[in-house]
Amino acid sequence: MNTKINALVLIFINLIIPFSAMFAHNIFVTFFLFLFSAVLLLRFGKIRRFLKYSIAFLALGMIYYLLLHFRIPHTDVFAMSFFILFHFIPLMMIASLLFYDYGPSEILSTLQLLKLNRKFTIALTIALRYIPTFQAEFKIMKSSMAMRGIAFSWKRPLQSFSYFITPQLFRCSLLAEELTAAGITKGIEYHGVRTSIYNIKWKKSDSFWLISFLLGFITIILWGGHL
Amino acid sequence: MKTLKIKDYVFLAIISALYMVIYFITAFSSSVLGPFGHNISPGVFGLVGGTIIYFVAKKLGKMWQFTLLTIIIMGLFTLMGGGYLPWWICSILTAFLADLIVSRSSDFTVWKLALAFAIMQVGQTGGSLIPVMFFVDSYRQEWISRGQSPEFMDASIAVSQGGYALLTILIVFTLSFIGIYLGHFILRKHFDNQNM
Amino acid sequence: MIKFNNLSFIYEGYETECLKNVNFTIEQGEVVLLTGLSGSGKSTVLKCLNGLIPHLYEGKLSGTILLNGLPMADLSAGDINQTIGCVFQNPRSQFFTTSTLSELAFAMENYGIPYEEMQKQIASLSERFHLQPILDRDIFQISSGERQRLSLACSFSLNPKILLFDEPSSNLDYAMTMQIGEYIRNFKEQGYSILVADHRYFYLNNLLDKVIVLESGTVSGIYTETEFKNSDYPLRQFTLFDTDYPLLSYDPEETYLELKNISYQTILKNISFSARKREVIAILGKNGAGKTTLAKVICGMEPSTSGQLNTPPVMFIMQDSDYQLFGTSAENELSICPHPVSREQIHQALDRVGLLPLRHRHPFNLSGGEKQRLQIAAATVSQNKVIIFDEPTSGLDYYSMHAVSDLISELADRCCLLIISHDYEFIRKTANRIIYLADGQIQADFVLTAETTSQVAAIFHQMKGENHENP
Repeated sequence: MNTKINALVLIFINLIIPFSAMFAHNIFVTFFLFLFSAVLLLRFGKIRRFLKYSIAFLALGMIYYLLLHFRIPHTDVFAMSFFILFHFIPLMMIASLLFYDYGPSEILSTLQLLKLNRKFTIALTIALRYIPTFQAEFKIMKSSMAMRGIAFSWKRPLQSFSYFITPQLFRCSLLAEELTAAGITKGIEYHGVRTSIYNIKWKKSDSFWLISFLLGFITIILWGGHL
Repeated sequence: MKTLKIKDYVFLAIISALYMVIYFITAFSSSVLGPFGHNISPGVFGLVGGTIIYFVAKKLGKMWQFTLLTIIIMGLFTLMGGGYLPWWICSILTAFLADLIVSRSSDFTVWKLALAFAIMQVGQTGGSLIPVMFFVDSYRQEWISRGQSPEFMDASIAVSQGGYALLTILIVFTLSFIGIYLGHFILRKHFDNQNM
Repeated sequence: MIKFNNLSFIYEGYETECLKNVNFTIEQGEVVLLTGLSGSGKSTVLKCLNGLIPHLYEGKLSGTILLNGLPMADLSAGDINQTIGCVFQNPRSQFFTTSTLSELAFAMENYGIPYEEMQKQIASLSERFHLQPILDRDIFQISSGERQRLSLACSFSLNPKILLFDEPSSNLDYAMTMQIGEYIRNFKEQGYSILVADHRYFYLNNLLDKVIVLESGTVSGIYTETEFKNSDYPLRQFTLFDTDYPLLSYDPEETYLELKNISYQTILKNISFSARKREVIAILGKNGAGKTTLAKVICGMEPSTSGQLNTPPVMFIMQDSDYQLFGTSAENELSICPHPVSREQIHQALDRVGLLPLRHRHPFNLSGGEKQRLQIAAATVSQNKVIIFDEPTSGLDYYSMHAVSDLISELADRCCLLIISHDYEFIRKTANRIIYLADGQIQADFVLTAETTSQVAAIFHQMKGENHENP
């Protein structure tokens, strides 16, 4: 029995949050988002993560308030950055669930519920699979250059960049060919409906989470923060 | 007109992984320069990423290549919690334009590619400029109501508005345009020997 | 099960046929070896069989392939994939996801197999290939042996009847290659038909029903295993340890490299040895013993955690050469060097590895074996006194292996060389000293003499034993 909240709920909420910055001009929206994300974290049993983010949220809020309250000169720009970070905490809380508690394959399987183009879903899977690979390879590239006596140097930026990027680009097209070959034998070109090992279905509880989020969110925006 | 095959999807997917890693490095480095640095970060990326785009145009040279690449990249940003509708719209529209300019045949001239890519990167900038441009009054009011001083708000809005916005677009356009020529300079010789 | 009928193929954009009138059959339950020199068309035959020709690689195909009596041209890619399974061995480009569970399910998901059925199949595959402890783990965090079993399991997920192996010995160490041999024996007993394309075949000894030899795109002979062993084909060894190799001279000069109590995280523990000019040291050890890490520490890619390292600048030729190719052509590649190299020197070096005719080709348009040879040519024009090779012969056929062995012996006149390898023949032809690593420590370090040669075979047996898991 799959009791996990459908990742689509979290993805949807994370799509809504950046919009709140545009339309919601009251701080209670941020408080609501924080509370909702906190409940979600607790629902997943992530108590330590809940505490960590709560402390960060409160601390950032306090610093912002104090900076503005005491009108310390030349701190305006910091105050603004603190407020933006403060605002981002709920987003980070939900993103942390998506990243640590769902694998990329699981999230992509969820996206299949949206009936996205199959080739596009597979392309996203591959991109996610290779991001860590390239991160790791940057280090190898640097040492390979050093060994050939063409170490990366800021004195010759163009030449260094050229040696750094060229092998990686050609490697991309080589990898694409090999990966496509493996993929065709694994049916990436097949046209039927794709299934998923993660047994992803939209459950009643998912509707509950989404509806309560939307109700709360819309109520607060309509109310507009007038006490 | 050549159509995109599954192999091209795989190729663009792997390219977009490389793109993302470089994007994060350049975006991080340019945000050190403050809000204005953040605004011009698509240009800083363009200077470096032009080589990637040149490579794609040379290797693939197919219609819709840049639109698809942009959709994959925006898909990745969305999964990472950075999906933002104005950004999506600007990026995809300009990638579509870029494809119309340069992708209709695999034989392209460098300046056309440079123009196409510069437009794409200006589209990326749109994501951070538009909210400030269109919602400037409510944006300013909101921050002032939170306690920021009006003087500071005017100063920080200024970097995304009017002359500054034009300057941003100009810088992003120019850097990306140069980026393609750098790519051409770096990769030209590599493609001389490709068909042997 | 499989019948090739006058099959010919020309890749698009090429003029000469890659395959010319190829005829052979494979019956159910047969284990067939497809061998031949690099470029003889082995992998093209496999690509025809798994449907990549014409689905991915375009060109002109004539003749027919019958699969269970049906022409392959009439079958969909899905039909082919559910009959023929391909075992891939290149971890950089065969996995689509990062989790073992989703990778196992990937092909089944693509074919829309229902959830319950997938669960059942995964349970049965993970039992068969001992994957239970690693289900739902990060693919790049498990050991290479576990990854190997995962890719075998993946190729079985659609219940194929025929299995294709493309050069298993190139990407695997000795122990794992022997293990593949065991698995193949096991699959044969269960009635699977198996086609292996490789230029090394020691792991298939006494297993083969048929050997098909390809020469420039045509079948030059079809033999039984015994006939093949008695043929005059330039054989790589079937039985590695029964052959006599001439002893190599050992007259080392000044010390170039010195390691004192080098440790690296938990991977290397107190490694001490020194290496001198004219020494060719083979570094042995099973996968995960720390050989490549040792090489990285010596060349400075990874800083050692403790200990003392004295060395001049080191050149390290990695197994995956893609990271080390910077040039716009093979010729240009050799000129990328901190010191000037003359055109004559470059041409001479390319000629020695048989790449002179390809000197204008882009390095990334060379085959895997050609790239390795280009790297070795780059080593010969360098001025480094210490050179480390990681599996320099993995993709090389009989002749290229000999050419590389000769070149390395010549390099030793001015260098000390460390060679990480699991190619027994190559080691015996090239190395004059052996260092055996296990669990991050040096277990043995000796010069090859008439007395010590038997120790090398013993080490190989030990490496196989340590890793042995019954299929």
